[in-house]
Amino acid sequence: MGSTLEIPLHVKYIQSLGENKDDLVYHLTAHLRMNAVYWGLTALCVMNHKDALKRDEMIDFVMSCWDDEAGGFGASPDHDAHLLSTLSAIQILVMQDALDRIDIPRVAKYILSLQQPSGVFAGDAFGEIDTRFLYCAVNALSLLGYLHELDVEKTVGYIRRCRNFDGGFGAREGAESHAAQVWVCVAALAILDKLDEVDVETLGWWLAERQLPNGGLNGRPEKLEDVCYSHWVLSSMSILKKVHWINADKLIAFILSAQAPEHGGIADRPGNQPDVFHTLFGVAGLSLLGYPGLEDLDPIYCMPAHLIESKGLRKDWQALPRKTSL
Amino acid sequence: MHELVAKLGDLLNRAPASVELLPGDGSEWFTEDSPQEILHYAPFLFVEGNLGVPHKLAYKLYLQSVPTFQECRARLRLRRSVSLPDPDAEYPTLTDDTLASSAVLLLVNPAHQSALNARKRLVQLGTLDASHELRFVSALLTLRDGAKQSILWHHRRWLLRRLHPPLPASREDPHTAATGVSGPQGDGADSLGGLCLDEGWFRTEFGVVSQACEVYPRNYHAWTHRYLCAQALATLCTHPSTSQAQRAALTEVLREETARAREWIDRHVSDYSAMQYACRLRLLWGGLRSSPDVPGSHAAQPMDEASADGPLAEHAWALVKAYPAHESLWLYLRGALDIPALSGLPIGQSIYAHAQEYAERLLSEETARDDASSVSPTDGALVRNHAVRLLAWVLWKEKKVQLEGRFVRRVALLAGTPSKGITRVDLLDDTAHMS
Repeated sequence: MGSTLEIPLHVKYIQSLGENKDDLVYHLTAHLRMNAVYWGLTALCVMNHKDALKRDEMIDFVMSCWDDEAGGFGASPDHDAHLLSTLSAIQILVMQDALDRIDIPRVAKYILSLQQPSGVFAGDAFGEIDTRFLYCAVNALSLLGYLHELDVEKTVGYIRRCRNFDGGFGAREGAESHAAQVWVCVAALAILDKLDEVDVETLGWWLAERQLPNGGLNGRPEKLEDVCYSHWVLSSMSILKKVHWINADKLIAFILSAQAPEHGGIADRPGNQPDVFHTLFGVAGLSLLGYPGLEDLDPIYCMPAHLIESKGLRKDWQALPRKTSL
Repeated sequence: MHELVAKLGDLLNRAPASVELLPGDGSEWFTEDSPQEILHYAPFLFVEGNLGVPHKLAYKLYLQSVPTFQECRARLRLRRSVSLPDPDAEYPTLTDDTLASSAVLLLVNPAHQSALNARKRLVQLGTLDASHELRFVSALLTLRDGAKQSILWHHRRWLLRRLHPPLPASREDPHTAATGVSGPQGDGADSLGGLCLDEGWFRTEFGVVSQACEVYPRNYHAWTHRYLCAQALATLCTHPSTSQAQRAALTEVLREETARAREWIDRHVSDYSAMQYACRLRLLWGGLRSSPDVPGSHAAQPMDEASADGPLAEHAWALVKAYPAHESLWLYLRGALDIPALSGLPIGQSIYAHAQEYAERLLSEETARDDASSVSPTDGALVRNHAVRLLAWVLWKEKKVQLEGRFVRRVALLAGTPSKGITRVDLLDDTAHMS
């Protein structure tokens, strides 16, 4: 399997997830279910099959994860509130046009309460910090229309301190540059209109070096290629307007070769088991590379571009032009 | 709660020296003739403090633990927000059930945040001892899947903040003043800054994190935690409340860790995480050297180990020549040459020149011919890739080339070109090799 994107197969794959609620896998993934629903829905949107999952059921699931004590959302019912699941919940509701179901001021308050004196955000009340959570906060506040309550200088100041000598960013100060952490920092800066904090050349070079001879991208030097970096790296380059620094044909071929032939879905690399995470990031990468038949994806929000644009949140990023055929 | 969940939970909560999920169902380890010490723990294997759990059984017990944990979590949350007259009478085994079910959940799924949170709540309520919980975390960190979980490393830091007294408040963080790099303060609960830790603690912690870096190579969150420890150590070395004797002891630990990082790189030539860590350690030393509070910083005996082992650029250069197929080493070299504190002028300048000559030699026609017989095609391709990229990097640093799409694509093309002579000129030349 490798020369075309098997959309109907991947749609069926996403629909099949969560069907067997007694499955061990279902229980082992409860701690990230909200994220998984967001990944599945976004992938469907990019493949233009948004209605393949039932809207009402999905909204009910999201609301069942509301943690009233905290004022945020957990990953499953009976899981503690966290910024990661709160962002995914908000993104799902925006994509389902159901944001009015939540107490927006309350959620905004929860998010803002997690900012630390240094400018970074904690993931929850227990305090783990990571630039991922900073991105979750900035993205969520912007979707909720509460970005004006954020201390931008403090937030940007923290990202600035995470900038490494190779132009990349880590999870916190002193942490190694990592493509996923690069994306969250660059995307957060883009939302805050502070991309001038990025050393575009140095970082662009570092990102371009993630491409391996087989066309796949890795997340750090001397690590294996992985389809999810088709999103973290490519989205970052799209925000920096450097997508043309990557060999698009080779990357497209790599992503397509990671499709699972029988049951659909995309894996981290060819021959491995698929999962919804890599399915989303594979189609996200293909969309940014102009693959025909896909919807445009906003690389800053990792959500449908038209939706972000309709909310007046679109920034100046660049993807490859969409081909009309292969 | 199911009997086996309780039994496994109990073993896990003893904080074994190591934990492992074993293939199959474990039936082959036990016979009628097995010694009593072994049979006592069946169906689990518990030998000299090392726990082995058959993975099929672990999954079954996971599913059994889910509803128990759900109940415990709900009740714990009630206990925090409503003061019940005698909470234990309502659910006398709440603590035990929480400990057992959460432990089993975390064994199979070390990313289960809510399970870890419940244990934090027990610590807050005073029914779980923080230092014992630290040993439990150490046990989970011996699991390959556990070692890479950011939530476990945070859990450690969270516990440490409860166990160790804060440093006396100082008006200004001396580390910040000395280095201009912001200190670890301001990151809220998730830092080791401002804690009074001793050299024994640092040695133990570097041991735990070192093992985790071994168990799971390029372990991102372990290396991050390691740096936080080193940063806390450096801060303590220059803190006004630290005695002279303490400073000497702490500095010795930093010296050991720096030496250990270097040896690690020698044994793990693909481990870029270690290399960038070594660079950061060197920069921390720089901060110590310039601090006025540190004894010997302006005396004849220099504080840092740089004089003993030479600049990092030298270390990187020696390794590149020995193992040129490893991208990490070339990046280590580039990083070390890029930062004045790490390159050690004029040695750095000399290495910079030699590295270019070396790269050009690797890309020459003669080498291509020789390589055809001696070096594996894969290695040959890798070496050429790294050599091309070094030359490209040099050209960019010297502003001889504009970093734009055409150049980047040309570099990628030439880096992937099989045996053929390549020079700096080819990198600059727009038209050559573009067929």
